[in-house]
Amino acid sequence: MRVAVIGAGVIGLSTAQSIYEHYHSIVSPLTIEVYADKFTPLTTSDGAAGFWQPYLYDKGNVQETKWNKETFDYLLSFLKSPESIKMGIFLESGYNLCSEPAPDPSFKDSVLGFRQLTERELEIFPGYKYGWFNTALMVEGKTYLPWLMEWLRNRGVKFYHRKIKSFKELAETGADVIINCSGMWSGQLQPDPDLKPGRGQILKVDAPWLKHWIITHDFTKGTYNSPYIIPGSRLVTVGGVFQVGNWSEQNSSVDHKEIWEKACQLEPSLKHARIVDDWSGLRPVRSKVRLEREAIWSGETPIEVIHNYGHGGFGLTIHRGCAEEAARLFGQIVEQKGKGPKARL
Amino acid sequence: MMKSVRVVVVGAGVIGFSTAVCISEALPFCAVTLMADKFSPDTTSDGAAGILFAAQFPDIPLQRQRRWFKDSFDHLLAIAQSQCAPEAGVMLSSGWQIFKEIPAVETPFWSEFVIGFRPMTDVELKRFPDHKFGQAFTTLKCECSTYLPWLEKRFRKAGGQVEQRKVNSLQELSNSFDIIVNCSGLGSKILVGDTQVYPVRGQVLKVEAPWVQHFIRDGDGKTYIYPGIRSVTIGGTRQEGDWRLQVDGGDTKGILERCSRLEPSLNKAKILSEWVGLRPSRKNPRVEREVVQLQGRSVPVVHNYGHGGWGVTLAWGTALDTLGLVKQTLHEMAPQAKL
Repeated sequence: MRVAVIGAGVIGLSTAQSIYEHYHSIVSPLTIEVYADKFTPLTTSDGAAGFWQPYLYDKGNVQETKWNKETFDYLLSFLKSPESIKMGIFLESGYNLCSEPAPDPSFKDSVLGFRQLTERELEIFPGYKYGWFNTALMVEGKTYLPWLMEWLRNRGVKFYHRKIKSFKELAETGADVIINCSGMWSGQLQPDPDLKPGRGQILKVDAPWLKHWIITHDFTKGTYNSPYIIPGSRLVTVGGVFQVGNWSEQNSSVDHKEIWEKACQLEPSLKHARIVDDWSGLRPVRSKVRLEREAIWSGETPIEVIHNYGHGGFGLTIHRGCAEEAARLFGQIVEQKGKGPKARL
Repeated sequence: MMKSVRVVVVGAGVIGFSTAVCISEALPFCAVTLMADKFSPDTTSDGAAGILFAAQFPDIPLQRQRRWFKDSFDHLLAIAQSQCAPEAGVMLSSGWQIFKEIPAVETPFWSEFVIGFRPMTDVELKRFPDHKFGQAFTTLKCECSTYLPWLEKRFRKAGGQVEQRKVNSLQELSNSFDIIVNCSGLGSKILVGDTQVYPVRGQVLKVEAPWVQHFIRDGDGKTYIYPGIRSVTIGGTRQEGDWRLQVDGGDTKGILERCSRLEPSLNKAKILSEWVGLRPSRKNPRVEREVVQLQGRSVPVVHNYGHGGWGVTLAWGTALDTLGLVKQTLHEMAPQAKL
């Protein structure tokens, strides 16, 4: 079988990985190809801070909470090996701050050591009256994606630097299944009014004395439209904005100024930090992740497509859970096409 | 006419400079000189990781030890929250202290002074299969190679004078100074003939592992990982009565093995440097005053030494205590010294 994956961000690469892991010994031959116009370090996944944390509330979307937890447990399992560094995975603790009491977040049972903030901790953050402390994970895209690509390359997966204009284009070359992981640009392959950009801008700062992430939540402004500070392995990511409908990938000096000023109020020691870089990216926002099969009719035979896009600001957070689910959907197709183990003899 | 009281502080480690700053800032009419043989980066304090938590000393009233710890912690916390933090070398640090056997004291006296102290959950302990119990909390790290120069600036701003000179006896100082403040650490063994002072040798490595964000310490105090501003300090050893300042290859190997067991990613870390320090240990720190007969004069001497491996942790608290003792001394001195 030939599988064509569109997109080489964390979703595309991890889905290719899950499909390989589950089916390379079942389907023979299994050819996996990844097509993308952007590869690491230029994908959305690369620009993101790489912090594992879903939005505070899943709003009943328990499936997504399950996939988030699955991803956390998966990444956590690598910590006992020195390999974790090559993958860009490490533990980091920190603070979620709210201006008023709020219900516990949906990820409280996924992270480590979740607890309410003490009075003294709130004194450290004037203006915030409530919040939580926990230990979570970092998975830095600029390290994780190259690791994934090498993993895939070592197993014969081929990469093509090409912008795919339609599913039909790939089907015509003989792909049996197309995995659509085109993130923000899925709308170009198939219109999706539910998919919108959630523009973010961040600063990268040299402040190695900071070891905790600090995420503030302003329920009047919405997710990630208030300051956050996320130390990485080399630089600290400072944000943020979440501008729905804004397609601009240019850095805005207005946003820069606002982000920087608010962050310095939150963490006074930043005053002396050197700003190294600015970056803007478009979170592929959707009311829920689109993770489903679709048979697209073009001529007499349907094109089997598995969609896996619309992960908003939690792509790295949810990637493994979604990849495994996509692999499960792939398995259904394998069964239907009679390419499964029973078909071997 | 008001005559300035001449105070000399002997020692330029974290105890010496903390004490000198406390005195010069609180008592502007005192002319304070800090005198030492070694200065940063060559003091014992410079090599210390500088993570704050304490041990309990047997003979000092608990109330006083609690005050020492709290005063030090609050002082550094205020710096950590301010713009000065990077310039002073102070940062918040979260992590875990783990025990192979359940300790006698699960909630030590200092637990209320650090932040967010709680026992570790079972899931958290899973990462450490050799350990049965653990404590999670947030404390502070104070890096003396940065902090000492910052304190020196503060000291000079308050009018303090700094002199590089090895003091071999208190006699040498008795003519030039009205009060001697002794912060000479291990040097007190010779300087004031204190036979109770002894070294506890500690070896550490500094490695490049910027992905390590938490401290991990084994409750026995011999294995620890302390991420700092630009490197991670890993250690260690606790060799009592050992005066060797040279790096020991066997210790290096042991440290790497034990620390990698706790944090496997350290296997990939590049070693930047190695260092040995002698903790200026004593059954209890000596923070007290006495009057010494030197060259026919009665000279008040205030001692502040013997902090062992808890110098950074207790520096500000014991410095404030020492300031209190200096004030008491001034009260009792002849009317030349007006307050």
